[in-house]
Amino acid sequence: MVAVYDGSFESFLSLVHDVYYKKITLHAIKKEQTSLSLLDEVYELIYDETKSQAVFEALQKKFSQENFERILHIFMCDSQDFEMDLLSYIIMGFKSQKELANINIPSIFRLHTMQKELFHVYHKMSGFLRFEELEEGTLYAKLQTKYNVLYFLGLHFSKRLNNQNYIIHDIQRELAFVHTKEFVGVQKVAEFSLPKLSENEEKFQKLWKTFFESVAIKSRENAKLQRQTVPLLHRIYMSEFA
Amino acid sequence: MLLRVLRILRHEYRFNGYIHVKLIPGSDARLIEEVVKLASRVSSNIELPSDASLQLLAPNKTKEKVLQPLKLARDISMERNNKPIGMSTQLIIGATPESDREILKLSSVLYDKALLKRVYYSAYIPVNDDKNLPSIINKPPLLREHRLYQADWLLRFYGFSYDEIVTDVKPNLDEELDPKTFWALNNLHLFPIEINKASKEELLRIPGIGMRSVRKILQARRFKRLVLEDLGALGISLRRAKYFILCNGRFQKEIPLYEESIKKALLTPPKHKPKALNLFDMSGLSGEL
Repeated sequence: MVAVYDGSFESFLSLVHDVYYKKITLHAIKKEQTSLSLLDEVYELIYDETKSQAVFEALQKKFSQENFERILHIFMCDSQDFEMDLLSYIIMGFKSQKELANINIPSIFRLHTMQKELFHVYHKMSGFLRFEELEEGTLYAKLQTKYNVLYFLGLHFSKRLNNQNYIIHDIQRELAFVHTKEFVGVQKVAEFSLPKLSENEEKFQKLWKTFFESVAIKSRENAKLQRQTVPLLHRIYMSEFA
Repeated sequence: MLLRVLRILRHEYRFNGYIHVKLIPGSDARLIEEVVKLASRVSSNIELPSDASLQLLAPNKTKEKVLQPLKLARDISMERNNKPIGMSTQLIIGATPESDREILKLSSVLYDKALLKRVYYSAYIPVNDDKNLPSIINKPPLLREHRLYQADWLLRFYGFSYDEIVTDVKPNLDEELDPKTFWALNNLHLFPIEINKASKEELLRIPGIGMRSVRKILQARRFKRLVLEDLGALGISLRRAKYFILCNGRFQKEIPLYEESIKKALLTPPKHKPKALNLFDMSGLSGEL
């Protein structure tokens, strides 16, 4: 059977509850209904908040801190089909926490690798994010990433720029990390119009670009290596490559 | 002047990120104390690996003078919070005749004394002519720079001593092979290593196996006896390692455990695939100052 859920953490937990207690055998879990073939038998998930809450509490109680966080982190890897692996991970974890460290099991190894990849993306973006100054002095950065690292980035910059107001805007996921005196955290972005840049912003971007170009050593130029260290994927909103 | 910049950054703009400050030989102790308080890392360039070379190319610098600010910074930061501030330096490679052994010996002494956290090696590229500088060398010794970095890693993270990597008999690193393989081939009596039994330190000495792979092996072997395929499934690179390991008592069959035959197998480029790295790609792998 194929299960379909809306992609949210809560409904996934609700699905875990169903699978665990109704003993359903699934062979795939899909985020949306679009890519289903006609032959698949579909399990319609009815979202139930109490079920979801029960599973969440059980996870907190039975799972070690490390393994619990892994589940949350995997959910940030939203461009991957992690659902089946995560489902078996959770069910296995209820039987034995020890077994979850067994990276000889392919599904567990995949989850470990994915979590590592998530932090690679975060690490790269913590260096490649470029802020622009808006009219009223707020710093604004656009973000486009493979995984959802917005929250981690926001925390990183709350240490670096803790006396500034800033917004990190994840364009694809329509989320933004907002850091002001009144509010710190992730918000949904419903509508968005391009903000006005401050007067100085253009000057600073020019300065930065000039620095970037003049600091390069001609004899050691190496475009291929540059692509390895600053992948094209991350350059989309970097002012020096624009 | 520099101190004022630092103060403004830290106190007025409350910048909490990384700041690296370069110390000049002969700096005053009070200045260094202030810098140590504010910077994340300090450095002073040693430039040349021996007193004799300094004498020749930079007569106004001596080893004592160059090391003095580093020593001061270490003592001051130790007093402040019992932990030396991160310090680094730069050495120029290939302008003077020191062997790799001498260079690595210097690095390892500096690491042991907690003077430095990191040494940067920089291949000598001629800029101006001087009778004391090597006149015309065909190419900057970039590959040698890369090998030195690899050896440096062995010193800092893999529990090697400089004496093991470069001996009196072979004072220079092999340019064809990485230092760990070079060491392993000279110490074949320690191999093959059984991956299911070896200690963490022994595993770290297998060519081609690094910190991450070791951690994976240690974790995975708690659950079963590992065979070669298991290592592959864990994403551990076996290209070099396979000649040096036993997996659950089994040894690869094609290449006998002799220095010459393994060396030949390692240096034959794999079929179909293009060579992974060429000389020019390496320059960037090494970090810069």
